[in-house]
Amino acid sequence: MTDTNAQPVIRVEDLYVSLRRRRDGATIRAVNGVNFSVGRGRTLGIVGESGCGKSTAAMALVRLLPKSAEVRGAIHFDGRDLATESQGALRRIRGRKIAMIFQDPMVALDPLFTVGDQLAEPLREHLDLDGEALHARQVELLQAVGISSPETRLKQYPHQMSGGMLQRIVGAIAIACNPELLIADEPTTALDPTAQAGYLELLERLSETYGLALIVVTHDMGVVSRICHDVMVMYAGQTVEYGPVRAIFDQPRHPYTQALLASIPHAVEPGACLPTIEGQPPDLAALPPGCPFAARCPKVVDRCRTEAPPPVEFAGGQRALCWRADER
Amino acid sequence: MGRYILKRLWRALITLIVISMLIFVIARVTGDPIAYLAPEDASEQELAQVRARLGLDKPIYVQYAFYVGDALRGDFGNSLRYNRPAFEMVLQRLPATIQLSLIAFIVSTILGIMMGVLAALRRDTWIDGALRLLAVLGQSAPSFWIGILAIMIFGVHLQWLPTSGRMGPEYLILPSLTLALFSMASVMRLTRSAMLETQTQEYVKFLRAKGVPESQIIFKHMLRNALVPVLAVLGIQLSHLVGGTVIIEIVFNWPGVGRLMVEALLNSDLPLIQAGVMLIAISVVLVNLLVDLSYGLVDPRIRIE
Repeated sequence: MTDTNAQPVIRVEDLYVSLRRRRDGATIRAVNGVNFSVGRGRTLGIVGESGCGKSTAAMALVRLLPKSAEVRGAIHFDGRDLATESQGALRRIRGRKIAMIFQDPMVALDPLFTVGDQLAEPLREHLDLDGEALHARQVELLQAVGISSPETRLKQYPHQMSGGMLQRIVGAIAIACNPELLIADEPTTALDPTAQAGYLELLERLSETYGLALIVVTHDMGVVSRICHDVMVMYAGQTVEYGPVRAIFDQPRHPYTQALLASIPHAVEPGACLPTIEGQPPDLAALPPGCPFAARCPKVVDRCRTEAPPPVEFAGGQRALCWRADER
Repeated sequence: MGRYILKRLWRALITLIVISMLIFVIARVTGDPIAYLAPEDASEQELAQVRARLGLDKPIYVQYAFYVGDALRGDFGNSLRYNRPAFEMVLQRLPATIQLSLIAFIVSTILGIMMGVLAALRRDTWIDGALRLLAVLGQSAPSFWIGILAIMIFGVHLQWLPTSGRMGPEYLILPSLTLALFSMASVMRLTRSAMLETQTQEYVKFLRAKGVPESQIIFKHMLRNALVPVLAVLGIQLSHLVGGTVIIEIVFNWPGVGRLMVEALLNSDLPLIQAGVMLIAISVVLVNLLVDLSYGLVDPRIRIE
């Protein structure tokens, strides 16, 4: 664990999530034994390609999952285990102690209601604010995210606002009830580079100002290097590598992390071909024995195909799930 | 909103002018009106006199001006068969038709939306299956057949309800429910699919993430969004308020505009047909106008440019 300084805000142990696939009823093992923790003011990045279980792992924390989902493991948060809480109890935590934001701020708000309405919902629901107190808090929140003339903005509808303004409003809604943890699921995927930079800056500022623990789910190593302290690399529902961002960028131990870092466009010389990872991630309904990355791994040995690798710990809190992790 | 209303009003006016021209032209291409009005053995001179008296010897645009002037005063001439003012006759039948179709509209809207929401929330259960089956039946079974079936079951066998005429509130039940069935089915299907579509919207996910109670997400946010497309279909159905009840009126012997129109057609009663068509056209245009305006109430994206 990297956050040795204090009690982490959230600590997840041996998280397993399985889902039923609608198409054929097969059981999908989306998350398979994941461990992580995030402290106050710290940012954890969860990275991996599509379908590696990163979003499912994040959403499992507040159980915003399809009805068929089954969650096992322990999620320690605020003195309780969220994995055993009822949906009703989780609803009172969502938006209050754990806030979430998703891909595209342009479609995060209901087009038929004013910004003020939608900002008021969590305040009414969780803090019982009403009347003057509610209004004052709304104005305060919009000011906190840097929106000018908040009085006018509260009465406007989402379609009257620019993308940048909507980002900030979504941010304001997320921090409305002073949460302890903010989960951002692919916050930059739908945005152009300028908007991405603005959004990341906002997230960073909110995390610093309010001492939030922040979990950023992304497939973009650039986002990780930009705002995260720690990173968890997921593949086929497993944590293949975990540790401080600097250590992992300096010395990635898992071949999958190495391949991901090699495929960042900035890291490639102009004119050279962008390296890619051949093949597809395995079907989560039929995971192979041994290491799930074996079929695509450039360093594969026979053992990888039959035996699941153990976690290998390194100095500084880095760990990797690979038979050949300690080879240089 | 002001410009939006003005634009809709302008369009409604244009539509009515075009319809009045169509009715005018159709009346003039379906044969020489003098043939109906003058005795069969009338001489050329007598025919010319009748023409002059009716203004039919004037150029066509002058005739149209006369026609519009008369129409604006509600004068479409007398019914050839009953020799009474045609427009008055149609107006007399209007309450019966509006009563029938309005009740059918209200029933189908309320039940259709409720059933659609229920089916969406209970997707892929037996409740959803049963409701969808009902909807397919409602949309595919012809209304005259449903009407006759209803008469056989509730009128003849069970003797619960009267089946013909308009003598009291109980006479409304069978015809209005039969009429409601079709639109109820389409409202239900559309509400169901619109609700299912809103379920996957990002803002619904964000509402859940905010900890908003599920009932509030469904009835405040999802339903209102789902109603935007439903409103369009309701508008189309409401615009059939006066003209869409013909078959039901005949099956249940309901004394409305539709039955009067069919009689007028069988009798080649041109003034009566013209008055009826104009009235139906006006009602369609008016209702469409109201529906367009109601969009603005539900959807702020239309209200605020």
